[in-house]
Amino acid sequence: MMGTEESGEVRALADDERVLRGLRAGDEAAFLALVDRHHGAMVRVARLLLAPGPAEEVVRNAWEEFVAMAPRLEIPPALRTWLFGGLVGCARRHAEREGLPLDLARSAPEPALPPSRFQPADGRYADNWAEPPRPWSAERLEEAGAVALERGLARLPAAERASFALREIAGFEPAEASGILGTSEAQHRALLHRARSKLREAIDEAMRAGGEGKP
Amino acid sequence: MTPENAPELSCRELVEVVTEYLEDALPAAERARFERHLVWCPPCRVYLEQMRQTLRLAGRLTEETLPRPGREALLRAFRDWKRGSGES
Repeated sequence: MMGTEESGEVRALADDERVLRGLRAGDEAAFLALVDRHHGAMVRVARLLLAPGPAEEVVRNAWEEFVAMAPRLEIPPALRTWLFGGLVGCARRHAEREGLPLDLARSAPEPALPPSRFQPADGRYADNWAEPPRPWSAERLEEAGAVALERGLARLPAAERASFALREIAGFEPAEASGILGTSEAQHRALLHRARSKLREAIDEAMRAGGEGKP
Repeated sequence: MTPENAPELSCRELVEVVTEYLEDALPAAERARFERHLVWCPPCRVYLEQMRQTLRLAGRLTEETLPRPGREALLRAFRDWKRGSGES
């Protein structure tokens, strides 16, 4: 049994209901507490869906839509899931207006690593590492890891970045993340896999570059 | 296929199922096959650890200082709604 998880869920729902009651009653403190709790992650996700510039505007739109809708809801869905669903909707509409519609469900299938990293499939050590990964220096990771990760994120296709943002940055479970993005769970996991693999590779590049010339 | 007669997982295959492993989405037999591979393959252990390091680093991005919410503008939207719903 998953008793503790269930009670956490029940608690979250009770919390959502309390917040919605406050909103319906026009309680500004309840509204601001909700903003303080979710706004940061929403901006962070919007920046990964779009660019930093329009992100702020899109998050504001999402809050405005939320304010217009939420107090009228009789049975609340999970509030956080609903907020981020609204945010993704706003980001999609913004991108469409700009003439660059977002495809958040698909990216080109490709292997996690270039085939050259492995031994040829017909050799004695078929499909084993040709170029094995080398451990990263903790010091170098601390110095350069975050920048490399950001650079890697910027290079990802939109769909991979979106799946990564909802799962790793906003911390949604796969079922919630795929619901918000309008993908199947399998699609979401495939996108997440390509994103994670490329980001590890981006960090690895930076770690190897930094290792040169050092003893 | 039972774990006993399943062929050994190759390194190339391991990097393709590492997300399913970390997400706990592999069937038990596949999970066992994955872990058996790790026992004799140090480079794949390095790879798996680097995946975890990547995710830890991403988790830290969330904690970064974020722009101020522009609470005033949002509060105004909330007050507008209150006024609107009061009139209707």
